[in-house]
Amino acid sequence: MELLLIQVVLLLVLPFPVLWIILRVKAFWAARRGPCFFQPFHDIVRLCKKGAVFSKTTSLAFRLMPSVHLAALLTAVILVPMSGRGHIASFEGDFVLFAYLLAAARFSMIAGALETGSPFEGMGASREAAFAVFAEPAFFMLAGAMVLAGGKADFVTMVSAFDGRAVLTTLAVLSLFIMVLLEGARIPVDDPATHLELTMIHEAMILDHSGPDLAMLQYGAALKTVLVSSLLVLVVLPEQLFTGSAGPWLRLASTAGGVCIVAALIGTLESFMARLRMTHVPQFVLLMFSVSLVALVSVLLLF
Amino acid sequence: MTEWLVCSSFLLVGAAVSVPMVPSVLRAKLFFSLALFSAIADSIAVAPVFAGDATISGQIFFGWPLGVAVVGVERLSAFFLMIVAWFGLPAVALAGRFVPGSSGARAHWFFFGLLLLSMKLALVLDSLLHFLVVWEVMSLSSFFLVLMGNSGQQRRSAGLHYFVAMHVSVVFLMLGTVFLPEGHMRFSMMSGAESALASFVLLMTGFAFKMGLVPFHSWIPEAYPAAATHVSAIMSSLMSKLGVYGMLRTVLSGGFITETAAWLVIGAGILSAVSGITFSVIRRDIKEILSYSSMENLGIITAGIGLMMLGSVQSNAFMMWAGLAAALFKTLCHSFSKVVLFSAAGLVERAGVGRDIESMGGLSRRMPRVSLVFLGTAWASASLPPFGGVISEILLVLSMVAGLSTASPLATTGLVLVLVLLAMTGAIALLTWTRTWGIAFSGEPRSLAAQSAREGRVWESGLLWVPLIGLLLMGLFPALVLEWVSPVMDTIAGATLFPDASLAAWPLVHRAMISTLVSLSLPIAVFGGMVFLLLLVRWLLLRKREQGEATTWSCGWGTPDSRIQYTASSFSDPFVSVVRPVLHTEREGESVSGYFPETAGCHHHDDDPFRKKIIGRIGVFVSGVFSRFSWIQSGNMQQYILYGLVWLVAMLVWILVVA
Repeated sequence: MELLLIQVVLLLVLPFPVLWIILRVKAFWAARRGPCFFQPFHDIVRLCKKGAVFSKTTSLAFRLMPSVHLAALLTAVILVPMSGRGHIASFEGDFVLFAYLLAAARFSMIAGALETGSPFEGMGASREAAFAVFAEPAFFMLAGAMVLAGGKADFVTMVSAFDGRAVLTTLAVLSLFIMVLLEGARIPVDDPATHLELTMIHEAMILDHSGPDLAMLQYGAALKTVLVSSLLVLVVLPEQLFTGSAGPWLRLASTAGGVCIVAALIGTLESFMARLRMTHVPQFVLLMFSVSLVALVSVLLLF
Repeated sequence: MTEWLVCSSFLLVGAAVSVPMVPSVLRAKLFFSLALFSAIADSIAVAPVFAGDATISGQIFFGWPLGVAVVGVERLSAFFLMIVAWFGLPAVALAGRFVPGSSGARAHWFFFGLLLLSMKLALVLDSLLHFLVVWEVMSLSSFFLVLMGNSGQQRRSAGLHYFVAMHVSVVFLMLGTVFLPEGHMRFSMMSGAESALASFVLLMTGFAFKMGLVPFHSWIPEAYPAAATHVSAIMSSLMSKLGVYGMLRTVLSGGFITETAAWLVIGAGILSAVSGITFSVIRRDIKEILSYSSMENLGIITAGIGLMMLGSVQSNAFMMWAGLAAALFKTLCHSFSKVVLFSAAGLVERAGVGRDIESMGGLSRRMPRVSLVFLGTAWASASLPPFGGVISEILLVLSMVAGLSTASPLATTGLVLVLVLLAMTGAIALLTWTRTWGIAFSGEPRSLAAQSAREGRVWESGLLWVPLIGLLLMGLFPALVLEWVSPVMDTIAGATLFPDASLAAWPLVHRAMISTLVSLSLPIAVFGGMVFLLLLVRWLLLRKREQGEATTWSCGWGTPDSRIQYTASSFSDPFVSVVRPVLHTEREGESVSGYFPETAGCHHHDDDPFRKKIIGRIGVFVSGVFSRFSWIQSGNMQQYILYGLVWLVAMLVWILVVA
């Protein structure tokens, strides 16, 4: 019981250190000092304390959507088993619900963006929806490979399905890492620090949000990064390392540590790589598709 | 209980006959109350069927040539009868708003009553011959309704297209019954017919027409939009379900179930789902979008039926249960959602905005209630939690996962492929629903008509919340819904599962799956609760803060207007440009090139390749063949008399030579 609760709390808190690590690593490579540890937290709190400005074009849906967005992601929190044991809601087929909760978050974001009638937000929304068409089957393909290898369709079994198979694990990690970049709207797919609307995806969609709504969307994006990178780390860490009664606790701690390492990786990547040209992003997403396909075909041959 | 069914039928006959005769102000109310009473009578009639093992059976004696009609209602028919009786009522209640004006109104009400009646009779009749007669009445009454739709020019060609498609379908059904072994002219007696693969394929094809599966869907995007709104709602959410019913009946007969047949059904289903949703992304008529989405949903239902068949072949009770449950669950969800979507689109059309989403926009401020109910149902139609759609997706995936354990390597590959295609369908559905709602309802108005659109009465859109709440309850309590449906599933399992250990395993499987669904309720309830919690927090945070209004940010430009908004085609372009090679594309003019383009003008039109290429070519071929015989119909009376003479002489010769 305590394990489950701490798992939830950890997932809810992790977005702040993750954001901080990314900023700090970027600062390190640029030979700057970087923000203090609590800066991402302060940013969110500051937004929550603000009032809000709404576009005259928008209606009730625009005001509802940020809350729905965050609610979908908060629900996904009780599905991701960071300790490698069952979570509050672990059941056969939970990965489908996870994918659909991410899709629900996406829908609310797009619907909110289109409410404003802004061409920039329409552009971002259109890109977001189109990339998902290739990313979602890729995720299901990888999930299918894991189910085939593990024999059951819940996250707990799936994440350790590739244990002891280095090639398959590498493929899964590569595919999930692209998903982290895509879902978290990070470079090379999207640049959270950009100031040019034409090149944005996620940032374009939140141009007109302000105050608590913006806080929910910003926190939601970081939470999404944490959720998907937790899955990535769970795939990497083999189950056999964590036996005994302290096993789940150790695994929980190492997953949290792993998520921080992923954040450092993202920061490094952002320091050394430019954002892709928008026409090349679909190819990058298709890379996820093909990596997952290779993993799936290998599993079909092996099992 | 037969008397209640007779009572219900007579109420609908009464509706069809009496409503055209009363003054026009009373028509809608009278029709709705008769339909409501008929639904109540149906419910009383089939209640014992659900409760116990009872089946309703009876015989109606007609004279020559109809003979004896056998009435038989067991659980499967009862399930669909409840859908037909209740789920269409919101559309029936709104019918008064959508019946085209003046002259055609009487005939319209008559055929509408006839359509409802024939749908119910088709479910009640057990004897195939009478079933076909009623099926024909259903096709004809809906054909007349399409012809009397309110959309000008288009309706004639649409009506003709529909007429031809339905009759090709009837030909398949009739041939299918002809090939049945002797003595199997009743649904309930079809089981165990062995030498009847031909009739299986023919019957399934005939029903696939009604459901609009690829490649038999070409009539759907023509007929649904052309009909009046309440008729399209009924056709899409109820009439297409009769195809599902027919398909399940054919599968129920059991003798045909083989691995090949199962894969054919799964393939047809998943291909219809993917292509239906892809075509919906390229359309801009809101009712056409809804029609193609209807095709997608029926494709998913068919895939569920196919998975059930595959499970039956492999004696895999888990796979069977989940596939069947997914199909039935999706049937309920789709019947709920399409009524709302078509009616909401109809209310927008009636506000003078038309059906082209490129000329809508800004309706979320001008018609807030319709907009909100459309948004909720679009959300549900994209199969997103907390509504019911996501449950059927999860059940489908569970069915495939269960199948992996018993499938051959080839079948495993096939199942994983279906899984990926299903995920793709889901993602494209998200694209099409955000596009439809976002372009049609949000942003600034894209036309003068949209600018001046006003909302109708509160009850009109208020009525549409009922199915939406139904969808929400289905998402929150899937286990309860499936407990209600379980008698139907037991019947089907009893008829199709091979008589071995798997039938004994059925109740265990049922319990295991229900407990999975119960644990699924938790995260879905959490989602719903979270939304309310966050909205509360948001309200508390914003309560004492300053809230302002401003224009949308447009990079420093102070007066954004509708012309700089993203259009429907630009919204879907990143996706459509990838799939364009498989679409039928007409293109005129050159796109812009170079740094200082001088002239530019480009017209681009993407369309459904099946409709344009395959069906179009078949049409040209058929009319080419028949035009060779056009000399027979010369218009000369003398020539026609000559035909008679030739015939008589031929008969005379035949009699003289043979006899």
